[in-house]
Amino acid sequence: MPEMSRIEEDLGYVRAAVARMDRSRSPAAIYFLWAAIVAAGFSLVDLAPRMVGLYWLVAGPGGFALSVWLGWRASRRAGEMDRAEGRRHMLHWFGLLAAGCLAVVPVVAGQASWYGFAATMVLLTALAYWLAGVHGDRTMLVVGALLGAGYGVIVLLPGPVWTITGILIGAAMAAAGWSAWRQRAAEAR
Amino acid sequence: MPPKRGEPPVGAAEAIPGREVLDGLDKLLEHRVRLAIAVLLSRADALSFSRLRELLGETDGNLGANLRRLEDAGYLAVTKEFLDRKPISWYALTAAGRAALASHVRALERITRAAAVAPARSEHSTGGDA
Repeated sequence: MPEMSRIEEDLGYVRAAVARMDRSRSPAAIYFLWAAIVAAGFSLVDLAPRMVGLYWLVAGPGGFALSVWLGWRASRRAGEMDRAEGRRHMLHWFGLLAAGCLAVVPVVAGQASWYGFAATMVLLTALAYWLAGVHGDRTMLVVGALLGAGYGVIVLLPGPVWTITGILIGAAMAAAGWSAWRQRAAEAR
Repeated sequence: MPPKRGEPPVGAAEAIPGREVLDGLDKLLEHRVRLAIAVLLSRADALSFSRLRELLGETDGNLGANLRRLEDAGYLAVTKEFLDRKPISWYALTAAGRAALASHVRALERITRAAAVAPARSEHSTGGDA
């Protein structure tokens, strides 16, 4: 049946194009931004603990807003306008921001320490990255797994582990950004 | 004259079981590049010419000609703007394009279902004769 085989070939062609479109990649700039924010923010716990709250109060929402803008700019430069996809990403990361704000409540109420809050934030961030990796950009799975391992280090080991963990996670995010940038450059060639 | 690449061969429709299953097929979307353009555009608000070219791997000329045919039929809307001082054409599916694609996809589903049933029936009848 030649007609059926032609239809199957055509549908295969369409499927391949859709699969190329579905290859979700976050812009490298967002990885680099959060690599810097996390490395600095974690180090502050060891170096200037009093600044941690203020730092994250500014860097959290600021980084979120900047990420939204970078994502919007990158998708326009890539030639795609998709408000629904943008909303999905925004809701995902806004969930983490909201969880972070709610995690402050037990500290303010005197039921938990800032140290406990920071450890919880690492775990929440690990989960957010892991789920983002499961549902979209696979690079985020690595960052999620590293954040999870970092949580273990922070909770189990004594000493100035925050700085080391922050630098390690920042390096992982920067590596993920570098990989995203190289992928994009290779596809553009 | 042989059919162009992607164009349905003349009289080929008869090869599909049951002529009625072809109802709803859109002549314009029978071309695989145009079908792919419509499907890709149905998944986003708008795509640029260069993004479509990247996703489909077609030449500028071929892609441009197919986009023009869809635009002439009222299936696509085009907006032009400058991004970083470079001109960029954004293509979006119109309501008419969306309706045509939905109808075409439903017809394709009927065809694939009919094609799946036809061999099963023929195998069944062959088995019965034997």
